[in-house]
Amino acid sequence: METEKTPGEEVIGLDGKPTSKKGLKKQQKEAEKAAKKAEKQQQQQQQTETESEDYAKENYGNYPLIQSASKVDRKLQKVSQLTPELSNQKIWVRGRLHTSRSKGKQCFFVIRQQKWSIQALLSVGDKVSKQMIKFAASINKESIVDVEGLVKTVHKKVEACSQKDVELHAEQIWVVSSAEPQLPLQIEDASRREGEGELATVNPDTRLDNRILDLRTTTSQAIYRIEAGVCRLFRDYLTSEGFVEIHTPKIISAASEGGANVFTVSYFKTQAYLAQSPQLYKQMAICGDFDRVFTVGAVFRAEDSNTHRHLTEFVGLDMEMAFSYHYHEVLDVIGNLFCSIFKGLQQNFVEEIELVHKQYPAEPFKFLEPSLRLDYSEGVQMLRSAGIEMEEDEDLSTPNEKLLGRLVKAKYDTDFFILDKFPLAVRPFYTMPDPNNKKWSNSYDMFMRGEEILSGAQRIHDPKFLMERAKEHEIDVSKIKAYIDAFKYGAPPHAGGGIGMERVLMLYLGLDNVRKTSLFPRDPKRLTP
Amino acid sequence: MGNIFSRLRQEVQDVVRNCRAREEEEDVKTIISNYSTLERDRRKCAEKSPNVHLQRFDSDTGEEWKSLINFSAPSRSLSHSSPCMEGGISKSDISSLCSTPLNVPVSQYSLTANIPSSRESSSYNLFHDLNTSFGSDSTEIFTKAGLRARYTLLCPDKESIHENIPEKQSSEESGDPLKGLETRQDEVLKRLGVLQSRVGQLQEKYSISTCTSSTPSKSAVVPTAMEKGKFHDIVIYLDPSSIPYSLFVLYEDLRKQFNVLATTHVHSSVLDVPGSLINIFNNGEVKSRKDYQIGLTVIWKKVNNGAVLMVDPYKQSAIEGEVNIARYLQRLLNSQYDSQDIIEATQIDEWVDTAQIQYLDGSNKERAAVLRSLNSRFGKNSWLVGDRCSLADITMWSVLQQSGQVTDVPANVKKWLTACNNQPGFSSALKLVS
Repeated sequence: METEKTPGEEVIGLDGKPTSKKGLKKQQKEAEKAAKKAEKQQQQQQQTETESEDYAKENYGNYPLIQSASKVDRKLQKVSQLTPELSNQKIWVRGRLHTSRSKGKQCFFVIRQQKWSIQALLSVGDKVSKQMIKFAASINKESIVDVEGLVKTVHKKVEACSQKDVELHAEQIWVVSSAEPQLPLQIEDASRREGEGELATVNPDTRLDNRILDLRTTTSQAIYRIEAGVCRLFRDYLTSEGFVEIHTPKIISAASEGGANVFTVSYFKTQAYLAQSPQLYKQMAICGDFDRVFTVGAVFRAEDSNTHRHLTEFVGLDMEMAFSYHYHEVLDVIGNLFCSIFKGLQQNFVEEIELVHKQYPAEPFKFLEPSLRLDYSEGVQMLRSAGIEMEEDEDLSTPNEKLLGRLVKAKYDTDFFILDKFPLAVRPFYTMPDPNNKKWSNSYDMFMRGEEILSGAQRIHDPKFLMERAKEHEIDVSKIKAYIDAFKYGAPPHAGGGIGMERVLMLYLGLDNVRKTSLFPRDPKRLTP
Repeated sequence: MGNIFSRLRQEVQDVVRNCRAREEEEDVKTIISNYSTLERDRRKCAEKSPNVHLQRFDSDTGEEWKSLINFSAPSRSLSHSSPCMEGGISKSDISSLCSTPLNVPVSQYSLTANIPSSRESSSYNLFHDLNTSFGSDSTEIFTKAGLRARYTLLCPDKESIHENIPEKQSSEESGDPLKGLETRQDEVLKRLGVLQSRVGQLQEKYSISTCTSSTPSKSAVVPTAMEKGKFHDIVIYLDPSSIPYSLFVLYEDLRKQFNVLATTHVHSSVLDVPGSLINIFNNGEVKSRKDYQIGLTVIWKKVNNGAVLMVDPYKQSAIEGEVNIARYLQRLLNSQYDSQDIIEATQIDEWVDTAQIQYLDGSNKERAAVLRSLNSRFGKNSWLVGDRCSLADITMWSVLQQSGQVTDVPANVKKWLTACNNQPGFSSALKLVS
């Protein structure tokens, strides 16, 4: 074969061009020797080749570039479907060469397809030649290959693969698309549990720089499938509750909330901003008589915070709902929404969750149905009895939030809870104050594993009252005129909230960084890939 | 008096401990330095105006001081961070008390409970007021400490003072110095009274709640947590496979006595909870949570050792077992439960233990034995303890219901069961479950 010949030729080529005069003679002699040796080898090889080429040449090699030249009538099986039921059947499968290891007349390799993998075996025989083994062993890792082989059941379970009960006795192997020989990160290293033994792991920045490789790990495969599940369950539940999905503009003329933390973009001859939240549009849709709306879309925050839970662009799952008499009607819907998402994940993504926890171990997520709802003052009381000094109407600091999460978990054994009736002073101007006590407001936060994931409230739907509250907050009323005007022509009482999809998933899975749940994360220091 | 002194010392230690816990090293240092200045002042004071009574007082109680100091010694070895602190405090504590006996009450008086740091200015005012009205060095120290740490001063137990004084006097030989001391004590007590009213006024002025934990003998009808008008949430984990009937009876009683908000949740560890159980404790939230006195949050969950009770995760670990929850609820219903008739209370305990250990967790043989002893008891009495239905009856009735043996029991026991079922709480409990 070609590959076998090259070393011999190279030797001649190199030695045939002596560079120094001193070693010339010696080199010439050596060259002659080498030439003879090479000749001998070549003869031997040719002998063996002529033998092997006869029977295995057609069973391996590199495909020409697939340019859709012809339609091939061949069924490619999914690795996930290779089970003992297909035993002794000959099948074709396409996947990535995950690892390969040859010893003598055998070559073991693992074909990986998304989160599934199967062990394959090449051994010298009727259809497999030594050259074929060499070829298979020399295929670069991560190349895409087509393999034909017999499905065989195994006596001892293959623990390293997802298909533990079968292996593939390969008869043909073709390279569809070859990978570079040097990988910036090894998939195996990227799949390893951190801090376990001496074996290498991949640091987060390397992962993000080479995201396409990192995404190939079974853990990443599982994470983004669960993420899709979160969105689907969100849509399914709200749709079943009579919500309408809406799409709101992301380029807006004025900063939606306050004005801080917005990205400015040039908009022809003027400036525009990237939407920080779809809230205004959700509320306008309510005033447009959609009654119940939700939206899934990108949200932008120009916050220069480099933490484990802040992104500058993330996916917002927002909902807004008109209610009859009490905003708890909305709170109950949101509580049930979360229960339905958690239950859906628990039921439909058992395998994926297990895969993620294999690499990133965490306690399974616990929740109550219906969701636990505590008053803010109760939370403060719990914190105080744990020795925290704080005023009843003081905002929760991040460490206190975490501590409260732990206390609630200890008392109620739930990782999810709703904190209701926040102090009015710590909420935005459009929050509806409590009817009985102006110290409190009809607003709520929701927590997962002690971190805030949703913040919402009953909004003021009376333009006069809204104006009054804005003035109390010393907000320039002229700047928010459009917002206030939305309520001029009759507005139903309404409440809502928004969730960060990445954060919800991170906390559900108990991951330590939101970048692990964002496909291509954007933070103050990262704009690529 | 020794009583007061030791309590005072305890308080100071608490303050220091609190400070240390908060790693407010600087504050601790200030406190210590304050003590040392005080110590110096005391010496000066003692040199300038030797007081016969005081000295006498001092020597009489010398033993006690020593024991106090000795008592603090082991704790000194325990505290790694600043070993000198404990000793320093007890010493200066003593010295401050010795040098200015009239001012003692000021420092030990129960001023306030939790003073949050953000309210520093107002609490500082409070202490400042106190300070000016009594002009004592020792108060200053305590004010500063109080400002920096969550500082719980306890109410002085007047009774104990009265009790202690005659004791000391009797041990006293007799004569003039004694009388002098007596008048001094009276003076102290008088000032205590004045101070108490003054503190009361200040409390009103700065609206700081009082801690009443030092008077267990006069325990109020309702637990302190509820006295403050705060919502008191009791969490009970129940396993759908074993339903504690006693809880239903006590829940009915609780509802009669308190404004109870009952809610039921299903934990994610159990998927199939029968629909009949899901809303079993649920009286619908008609008003804001704040307006209820007690919350009863029932969570259906996989629990291995029967029911579990959680009230304050910071103070307690899980309380397990149906009868222990019953005991808790009974004490909530009747705060005099343990003090009214202690023989009766102990007898109830005995039966309650029997219900759990020998019947609920017992073998068939043990169960049969329980039924026999019940039968003989009910031959002469209509209730397990005393002449009315008690916690003993509630728990015993509950475990019999759970075992499903209610039809297959001796005649006397059957009679008692019928009597139970006719009680209002029991009948509604039965209705709830069925």
